[in-house]
Amino acid sequence: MNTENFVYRQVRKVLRKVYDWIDERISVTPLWRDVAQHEVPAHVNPTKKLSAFMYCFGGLTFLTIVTQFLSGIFLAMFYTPDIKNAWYSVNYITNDVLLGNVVRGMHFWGASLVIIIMILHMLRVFFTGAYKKPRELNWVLGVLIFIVILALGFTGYLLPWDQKAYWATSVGSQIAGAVPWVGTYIQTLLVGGHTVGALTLTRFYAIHVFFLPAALMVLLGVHFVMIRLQGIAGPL
Amino acid sequence: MDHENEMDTPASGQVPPKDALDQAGGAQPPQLPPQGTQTVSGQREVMSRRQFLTYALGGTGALMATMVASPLVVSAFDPLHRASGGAFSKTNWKPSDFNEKLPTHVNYLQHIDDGWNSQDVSNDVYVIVYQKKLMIMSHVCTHLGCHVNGSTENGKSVAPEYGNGKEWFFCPCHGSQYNIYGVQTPASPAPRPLDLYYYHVNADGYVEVGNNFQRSDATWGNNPNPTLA
Repeated sequence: MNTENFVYRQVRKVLRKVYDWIDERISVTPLWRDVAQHEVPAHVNPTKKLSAFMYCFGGLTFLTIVTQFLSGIFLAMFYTPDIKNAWYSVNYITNDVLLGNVVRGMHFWGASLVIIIMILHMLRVFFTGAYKKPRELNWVLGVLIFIVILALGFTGYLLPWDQKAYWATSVGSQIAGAVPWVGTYIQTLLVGGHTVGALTLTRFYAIHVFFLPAALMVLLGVHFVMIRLQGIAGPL
Repeated sequence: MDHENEMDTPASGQVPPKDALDQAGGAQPPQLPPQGTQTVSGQREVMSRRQFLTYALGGTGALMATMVASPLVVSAFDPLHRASGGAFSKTNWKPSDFNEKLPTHVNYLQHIDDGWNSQDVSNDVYVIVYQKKLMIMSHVCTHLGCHVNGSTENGKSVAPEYGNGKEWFFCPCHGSQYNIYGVQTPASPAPRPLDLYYYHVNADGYVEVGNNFQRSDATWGNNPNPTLA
C-alpha cells in the first residue's frame, strides 16, 4: 500500500515536472484553460436538471465525427478507389484484415449515427430557440455542416462499389440531372463522365476523403469559435 | 477561475514538511487526522471530490478512447501476422532439361498473392543440377539487388566468361562475380551466395517453384529440396 502510494506520488511528480517545463517555455496553461475551463450554466447541466442532457447532442455529434475521421483514415490504408479492385479491397478489409470488419463496421454504423445525432442536435437548437438573434449565423453554419455531412454519406455510399452502391449513385445522379436547364451539366460534373464508372469512383473518393473533410473541419472550427464568442443560449 | 487543482506544489512562502504535502488535499496546511480515524501508519489518504471526479471522468474517457482506437490500430498491424505467400507456381520444365555442367537460364510465371490481388508475374532463374538436386538460383544479386548476368551467348549457356574463365555470373552494377553454383568470389561486394528456390516435381513430372531462401558461404551446398528420381 505504501509502496503503491510512493510510486504514484513519484509518477505524479515527474509528470508535473514535465508539464511545468513545457508550460514555463510556451505557456500552454492559458491555451487549454481557454478551451476547456469555463463554467457550465445551470440550465445545460444534466446533474441539475436531467432534461438538460439534450444539450449534449452537439458534442456527441462532434465525438462521432471524430471516430468517423479515425476509422476512415485507417480504412484508407486498405481501400482502393478503382472499379476493378474497390469491391475486392472492401472484401479484403471485411474478411481478411485483423478486426477489419470492426473498423469498417464503425465507419458504416457511425455514418448513420452522425446523421441521427446531428438531427437531434438540430431539433434541440430549434425547439429551445437557440438559433435566434444573435446566433443566426451559427444556425446557417450548422445547416452548411448538415449539407456537408449528407454529402459525405452520399459519396461514401458509392465506395464499396457493390450493386447497392452503384444503383444508389445512378439514381442519385439522375435526381441531380432532373434540375431544370442545368441538370445535365450538374449530372456530368457529379459523375465525372457520361456514365457512373471509373471516373465517378475516383471523383467520389477524392470528395469523400479530401474535399468534404477539409470543409467540415473548417466549418466545425468556426461553429465552435462562435459558440465561445457568443456563449450558450440562455434558458427558455 | 484560478481555483488551482494542485496537490503537490506548495503555495509560495509556505513550506510544509515535504512528506505530508503529498497527502494533503488543497492549499490548507497539512494536519494529521484526529486520533482514532487514522491508519496504523498514522496517515490517512485524502482525495478531494474534484480529484475523484477528475479521475473518474478521465478514466472513463480513456476507456472509451481505447475502445475506439484499439481495433483501428490492430487493423493497421495486420501485415505483421501475414505469412509470405507460399504457393508453388507451375512451370513447363522437366528435371531432365538441366545438367550438372552449367546453369540454364529459364523463365516461368510466378504466382503472387498480394492482398486482394493475385497475379502471375514473369520471373527468370538459373538452374543447375548439383548432387542429384536442382539448384534453382535467383537472378537477384545479394549485394544490392541488381539482375546478374550469366555467361550466355544467343540464349545458350557457355563456359564461364568472368574472372579469367572461373566465374559464371557477373553483376553489372558493382562487379560481383559468382561461380556456376552462385557462390560469390571473396573480392565481390556480394555478402552471400545467390538465393535458392524451393521446388517439387508434380505427378506429371514438371517442376513447380515455390519461395526462395538465403544461403551462407558455409551452407551454399545445403539444399533442402527433394532429390531427383
